[in-house]
Parts: sequence; structure tokens; C-alpha cells
Amino acid sequence: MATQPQASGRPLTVLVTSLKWLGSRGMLHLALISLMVLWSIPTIVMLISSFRDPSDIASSGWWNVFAHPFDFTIENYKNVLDARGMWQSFLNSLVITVPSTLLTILVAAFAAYAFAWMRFPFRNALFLLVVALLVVPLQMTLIPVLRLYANLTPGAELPSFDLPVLGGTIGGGKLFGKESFVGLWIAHTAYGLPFAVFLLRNFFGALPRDLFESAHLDGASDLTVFFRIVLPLSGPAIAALAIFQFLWVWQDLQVALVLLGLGDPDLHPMMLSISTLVGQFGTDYQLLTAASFISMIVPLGIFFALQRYFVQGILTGSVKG
Amino acid sequence: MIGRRWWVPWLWLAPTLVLLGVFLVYPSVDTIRRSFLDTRSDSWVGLENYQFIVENPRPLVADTHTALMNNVLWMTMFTMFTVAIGLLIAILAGRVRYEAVAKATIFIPMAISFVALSVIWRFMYEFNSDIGTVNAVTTGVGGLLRDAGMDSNLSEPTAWLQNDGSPQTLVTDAGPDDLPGPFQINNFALITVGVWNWAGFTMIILSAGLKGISTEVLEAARVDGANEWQIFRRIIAPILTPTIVVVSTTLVIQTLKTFDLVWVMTGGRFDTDVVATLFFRQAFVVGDFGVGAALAVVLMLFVVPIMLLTIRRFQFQEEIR
Amino acid sequence: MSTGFRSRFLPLFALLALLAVALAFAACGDDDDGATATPGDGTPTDGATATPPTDIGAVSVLAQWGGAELETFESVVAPWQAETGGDMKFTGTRDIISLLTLNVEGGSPPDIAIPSEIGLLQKFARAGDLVPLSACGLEEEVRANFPQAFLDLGTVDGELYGFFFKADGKATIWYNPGFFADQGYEPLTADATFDDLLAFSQEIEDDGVVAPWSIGVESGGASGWPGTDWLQAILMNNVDGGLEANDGLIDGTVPWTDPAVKEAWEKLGEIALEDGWTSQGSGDGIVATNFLDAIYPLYEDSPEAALHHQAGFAALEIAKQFPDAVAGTDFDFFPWPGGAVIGSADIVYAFNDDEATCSMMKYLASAAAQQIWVEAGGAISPNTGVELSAYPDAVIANAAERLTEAETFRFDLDDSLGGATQQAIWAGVLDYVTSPGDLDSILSGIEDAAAAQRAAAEDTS
Repeated sequence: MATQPQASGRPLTVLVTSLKWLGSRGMLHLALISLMVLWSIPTIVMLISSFRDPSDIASSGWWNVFAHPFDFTIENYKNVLDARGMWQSFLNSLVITVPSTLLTILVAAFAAYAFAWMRFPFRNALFLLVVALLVVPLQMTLIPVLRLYANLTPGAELPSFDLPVLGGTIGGGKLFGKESFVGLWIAHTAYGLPFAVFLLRNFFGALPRDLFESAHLDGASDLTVFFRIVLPLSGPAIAALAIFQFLWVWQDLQVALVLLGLGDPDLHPMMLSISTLVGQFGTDYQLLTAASFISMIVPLGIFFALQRYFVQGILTGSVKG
Repeated sequence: MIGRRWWVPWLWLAPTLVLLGVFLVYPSVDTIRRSFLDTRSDSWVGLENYQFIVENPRPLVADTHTALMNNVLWMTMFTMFTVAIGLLIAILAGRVRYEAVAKATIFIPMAISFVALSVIWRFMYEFNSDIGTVNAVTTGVGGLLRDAGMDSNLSEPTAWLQNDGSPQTLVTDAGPDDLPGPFQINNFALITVGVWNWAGFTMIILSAGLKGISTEVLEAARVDGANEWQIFRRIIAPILTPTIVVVSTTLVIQTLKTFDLVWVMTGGRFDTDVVATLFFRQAFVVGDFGVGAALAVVLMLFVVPIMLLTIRRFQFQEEIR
Repeated sequence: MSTGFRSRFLPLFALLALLAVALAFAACGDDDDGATATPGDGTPTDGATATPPTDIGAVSVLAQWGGAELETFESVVAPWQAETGGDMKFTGTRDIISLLTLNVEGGSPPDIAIPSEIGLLQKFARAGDLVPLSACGLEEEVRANFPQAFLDLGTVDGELYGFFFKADGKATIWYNPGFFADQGYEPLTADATFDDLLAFSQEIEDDGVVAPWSIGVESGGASGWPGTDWLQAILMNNVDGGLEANDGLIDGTVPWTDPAVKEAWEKLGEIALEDGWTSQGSGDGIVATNFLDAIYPLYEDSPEAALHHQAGFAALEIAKQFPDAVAGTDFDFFPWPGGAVIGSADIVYAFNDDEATCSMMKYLASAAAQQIWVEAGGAISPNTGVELSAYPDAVIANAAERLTEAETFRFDLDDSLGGATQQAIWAGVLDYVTSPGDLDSILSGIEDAAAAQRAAAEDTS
């Protein structure tokens, strides 16, 4: 954007330059804000619906809310939060999602580094194979995986720890195989690897070659380079990956249903518990809207926690309007 | 290159290769095997299942041709719009102070579980214009147009998810009612939901890529008098291209797997089937694992041309390094 | 990397958000410690009974229920748990067909499954995945307490594999008695004819106050299924030789292109596609209207339609949407002209004969268990041991009586067929309602699917 017009000089020039500046800045804001508003409409619709009575939702549009501003209810939210075992499911979701995300990032980072900066036979072919695996439909993989898990001897029951004050338990389930959190961690990691490796390799590969050359000249080993150079410089990529892997595991229904379900409902993640709030014919969907906002809080929190990695911040670019 | 023992890269790759092997490669091989067997995977039938896909003998149950064409539509339109909007926001939002809020707005749809997503969009697309937002808007506009003397089909509500007619029938009766191929109102309606959902994905990854562009370079360019478009074309685009490739490739492959969205909103009915929903229905609802597996294999074959394109891109990047 | 005020504090904000969620849960009174319906696993929970003398083990149950239905089912199972110390692990999903298929293929089926369509029963039974009721010593009791029609349905190749749990009656036309009284309309009786129904519809349309019918067939991936209820009702009641045709469609001796079948479809069109006869306006409106939303127009403050054809569960939905409505006064049904009854039910079958599994199966089949759900409302039990007085209101008692004592009774047609045929019928309904001219090709398309399914079934038996 052009720098600020000099305050000296003829007023007309100042006016014209200001208008031009305002014009293109104005356009920017207009475009951006209208897109944001348009984008938010469905979300707002959902928000409003979550505060309405189910019989209202089916009979009138959400804009009627403005005509009857006090016709709202927090009943839906209460019903979701009150639902039996919902807090436990929330904890379960955390127990399932956090380790899966961390594990995926770790495993993928190692592989991505190898693909990006090490030479070995079949490197390109293997990499393409890894990326191609993105296409494998989840449901087909679940049958052999289920069979595998079902055949694994479950091992010990893992201990579970009661949370003080907040209530609920962390942990539990079997050691591995079906009905085990460990089994879920491994499965989610595997399913997340193709994208993770693809993404990280792209970013790792973009790092300047001389960084590595000088490090190796100084005698640094691969591990040192990895932890001291590559990881710290790859903040944005890892953050992006973290958000999405977290999001996908958090929202997952299928894998949990197949690998955990039919077993202990106390192990169910939140998505699974929410889906059982809805009746056989898909009624009570107003509970879904409320439940969705509740379950959205954590991923949104992660987004804001990591947002500095993809937000340019005031320091980039020139003078802001 | 530093002196590495030959087995070092493989050590770094090992966890990835093992996990992928068990969870993705082995099931893929199993799927390919099943595609040559009969419905319950008992006896060999050779290429019969593939013949079924080519000949499409039972379109009422499984319309393979429609599904394939819809997939192509998704792969092109969905990817294009999602990448374009994500890029637009990533760049535009970087220029304003409320960047984090803007990006959060676009990100929120990704944080909503797809079950709630489908609930809300079913409301948006509701046929009854007293309840459905989109129909309320279009019939409102249609009413205004009619008052201004221009009669059009807009004044009638549209069955967005069920109408498989060609798009211009929204406005006028002129032209064909049904276009050959996948150009249907409901396909576009579904793709809109997909774009709304996934734009946050491209936006975040592209933002992460933009972070890597040094601000001094951008400053210098602006001081030298370059306008925004030139900056984009000469500086941003070349650096961002590999990331755009990653994002597009992932998206295109993702559309091959697009199952949840279509399944929950229309179940593949009204000619909105894609290969993933068709495969799921064939295998798990009808119980025909032979044709189901064959469809999954076809899906996986779709990825081959995509991979070829990516190979070229990576060879190019290798040369730069 | 930008530093600064915001980014430094944001991780803190995130943590606070997490804490806020925790507090929200705590505040809203989730006062159990996460246990669901498992009082028998030895760990004392607040207010639960003391550890019972025997602990028979755990049974995993897979069904379609969620929400309020799940709560009712848990109250059904509670006495069993108290008595045997058993543990029920319940999973509910609406995609039960696909989940069940996946689990069976993966070698990890539930102990007991309770779906509502028959096709899978036959497939699993023939493949040897199920245990017959005799393995649990249940056969005699079931044979004594359930109507023959239901027994036939649960039988595959001569062996009885399943019994029925929660039934519903179809071929019922719902109306608004208050509205009828205002307009001077009389509900039809069971010995009316199809022409009577047409004349009645015409009369309502002529009066111009409301549209005669409200019809909606949208239902996500199952869109079209309400149409099959219409077809079967018409076929069994209003077409010559229709009853035989219905049976023939199920056992494969009658093709879908048969003239009797075609006549049923055309009669459906006479009502659904007639100009001005539906409040949805057109075929496009019908396929775009959700089947639940199609119930409500009859009972709004100013009704928009007079008649709605739907199964018994409509009563539950009406009560939910209009909490002040009183059964019998504000909503009621009359039978489809002809009086033949169609029913659907959830079928219960077991994948193994473990002690715990058999114990639960025995319990669920008993009149005592089924009565619990009946008393909770919204269900009809096919078990003849359940007293009619157990039903909470006259409307549903009437429906129950109709179901268990009908002269002509058949199970739901598309549920009986299942698989590819069911998919084809549903798709066919959608096609027909939007392009009625294609009826012949639609029917031959359905027949193709049915033929293929029959052929495949023969291969595996």
C-alpha cells in the first residue's frame, strides 16, 4: 500500500491520494468483511437454533428470533451437559486426541526429515506411495484392522485415575487391541500419517540447504540437526498439522465406533456420546446444535493458542489502515 | 552429504512404514483381492465386478456412471473454490489488524462436527421458505424481481438438495431441464457446503506458508512502488506454489474420499452419489463386497494421474535444491 | 515470528477456555461420575443397589436407539441387571446395518443385535454367524407367545433365529379429530374402499380449506421409504390379487413388473401426484419434505392438511412437537381402507450362546420386559402376554390390538426384502414421484435388483 500522503503540498493532491488510499483500503475491508459475514451466516443460524425450542425450530425460520427476542431457551445446552456420561466422554476425547496428535507429529516429522534431507534408494517412489495412501477409504481399512484388534489378546486392564474435584476418570480400558485407548492412538496416528508426512516434508524441504551444510561441517549428527534446527524453524507447519490432526481425531466417529464401540460406553469419546443423544429417526437434532458448540470449544481453543503461527501480525506488511 | 550408515534413513522411516503397512497398505491389498471375489468374498469372479461398474446394469441401486461423473465435478470445482477462497483470505486477512478474528471466522466451520454441519445446512436448504434460509432469500429476491416486472423461477422455493436439474432452471424455464453430466443444482449445493467446510483448511496451511516469506522483501518491494498484484505474482506466488500444490493435492484426494458430507445430507440419493458413498452403500448396506471393493479400487486408481502431476512438481523442486 | 501481548496471553486464554468448559459441565449438575448403565460391575455408584449375588458377565448390545429411546431401553434392562448382576454395554447408531456388517466381517460382532430389517438376519443366519433361539432354550417360549406371522419372519431355513421386540403398525391414516369435527368430516372405517378414499380427498379439496394430504418422503439416505408403506397398503388392500402379489414379491415368485404391482404404484400416483391434493404442492415438494415434517401440518393452529399416512410412531412425534395435544381428542388414526394390517418391528438375535447372552435374550423376549417399554409409551409389543391395559392411551392400545389380532397381517415389505432390492425400491419411489412417466423402466429396474439379490442369496446358501 502506498505510504501515507505527505501532509505538505496542495490540499487537492492530499484529497485525491487519501481517497485513493481509502478506496483500495476500503475495498479490502469491504471484501474481507462481507466474506466474513457471508461465511458466518450458517454458524449464526446454528447458534440461534441452539437457543430455540425444538418445536419452534421446525415451524419457523431463525429470523423470527428478532421478532420474539425473549423466546429463547438454554434447555438444549442443559440437556447436553446433563446427559449422562457427557463429562466422562469429554475427558475420553481428550485422552484419545492429545496423544494421537503428538504421536502423529513425532512419527511424521522423523519420516519427513528423512524424505527431505536424506538420500536413500527408492526415496521418491516411497514418498509418492505414502502420499497416495491418502486415498484409501477408511471403512475398507476398518475390517482388517478390526479383525487384527479383535485377535490381539487384550492384556491387562489399564488403571484409571479419578480426577479430583472435577470428577470423571482418566484412562481405563484395555492395554491394547479393541477397547483400548492405545489401540486408538495407534490407529489414528496411522491414518493421519499420509497427510502429515506430505505436509511436513514440503516445509522441511523448503529450508535452506546451507543451514544443513554448515551444521554437518560442524559435526552435528542427524538428531541434533533435527531437534536444534529443523523443528524450531518449522513452527508454522507443525502448528498447522497439530490443529488439523487434533481436529480430525476430536471429531472422529467411525474409528471410535468400530474399534471402541460395542464395548464399554464409559470409554466413548464425545462425538460418539453426542450421536446417541439423537433419536432413532434423527429427532432431537436441536441437541446436536448445542452439542456442536460445546464440542467446538476445545478445537477453537487450540486454534487460538497456536494462531501466532499463521497470523501475520501487525509487524508484517506496511502501515495498516 | 555426510557419511551416513546405510540403515539410518530406514530407522527414521521405520515407525511410519510399519504403521502405514499395517493400517493402510495391507487393507488396500485386501481390498484389491476382494474386488476379484464375489459378494461375500468367497469365490473368484475375475473381472465381473469391474464389468458391473463399466456397464452400470442396475442404476436404481448403484448408478456407477453418475457417481464417477459427480466425482470429477467434485475434484475440480470443490478444489478450485476451496483453494481460491483459502488463498484469498490468507492474503487479504494478513493486511488487517483483525486478522486473527477473520481467520477464526473461516476456520470455525472446520471445527464443527460434520453431523452438526449437515443438520445446519439441511435447515439452510429447507424447502419450506418459512424455515429454510436460502429459499427465504431466493424467494425474496424472486418476489422483488417480479414486482419489478421480471418474472422468474426464483419466486418459487427450490429443493436444493433434491433438485437434480440444470442450474439455469433456478431462474428461467428456458434451456434444457437436465444437463448431461453432473451439472445439477444439488451437486453444487453440496459442493458449497464442502467449500464452506474446508476453506479454513487451505487458509491455515497457506497462511503457514506465507509466514515463511520474509517481511523485508515485501517491504522493499512496496517501497520500490510495486502494486499488490505484482507483489503477489512475483514474490508470493513462486514461494507459495509448492504449498498450493500440497493443499490442492490433498484436497483433490480428499474429495475422492468425500463421503460423510454427501452421505449425511442426501445419502447419495437424487443423483448426488459419489464413488465413496456408492462403495459404502454397496459394501455395507447391500452387502456386496465384491462390487464395493472394486469401487474402492477405482477410487484408488483415480489417484494415479494426480500422483503423476505431483511427481513432476517434486522433480522440479528437487532441481531447485 | 510475531510476539506481543496477544500471542503471549493466548495460550493462557485457551487454558481458561478449557477450565470454563469443565465448570460448565460441573455446574449443570452432571452429578454422576461418568458411569452409564452399568451398576453391576462391582464398583459402587451413588444410589445404586449393593453388589448382587451373581455376576453373570457383560453383554454387548447393538441397536438403533438413542436419546429418549435409549433411556427407555435402559429402564427395560434394569431389572435384568439387578437380578443377574449382568452388565449391558450398549451401542446405538442409526447406521446399524453398515456397522453390523462391518463388525461381522471383521470377526467381532456384538453379542446381541436389534435392527429393524430382516435382510441381514437371513444373510447372517445362512452364513452361520447367528445362533438359533433353541441354543438358548428360548424356542418353546417364543413360539408360545408370539403370533405366527412374526414367528415366520424370524425363521430362516426352518430354524427360528430371532424374536421381535418393539413393533409398530402401519397402514394407518392420521387425522385431527378437532378439525374433522369443525369441518363435519367423518373418518373412514376399515371396510371402506380406495374409491371412498379418493372421494373423501376430493371432497376435502373441493371445500378449499386445507389440502387433503400431507406427504413427505425425504429421509437422508433412506429417502423414499414412506412411499413403500403407501405401496404396500394399497397393494394389500386395494388391488385384486394384491395380497398374493405382496407375498410373491417377498419370496420372489412375482416380479415387480407384474400388473398388480404396477396398479398399486399408479394408485399411489392418483393421490400423491394429483394437483392440489398435497400441501407440499408437487412431487418435487414431496421428495423435499422430511417425513417427520410432513406430520405436523395437520396439527398446527391453522392446519394445512387433513390426512397423513404414517405408522404408529407418528403419535410420539405429534406429542413431542405439540406437547399440549391429547391422544384421541387432538390426534387419532383410522385404518387404511381395506383393513389389512402392516407391521414392522425390531428383531432381536444373538451371535453367540454365552450364559449372559442367553440370559438377556430370555429376558427381552418375556412379556415383563416388553411391558416396561409399552408402559413408557410409544411402543407396541408383539408378545401376546402383554395386556392391552398396559398401554398408556386408547389410541396406542387400539393400534396394538389391531396389530396382534389382525386377520390379514404382513410385515413391512421393504424391510422384509432388505439389501439391494430395498435400495432400489426407495430410489424408485423418488423417481416415480418426480417423473411418473418412467414407471415401467422404474419397475424393471427394481426387478433387476431383486433378481440379482435372489441370485446372490442362492449362491451363498
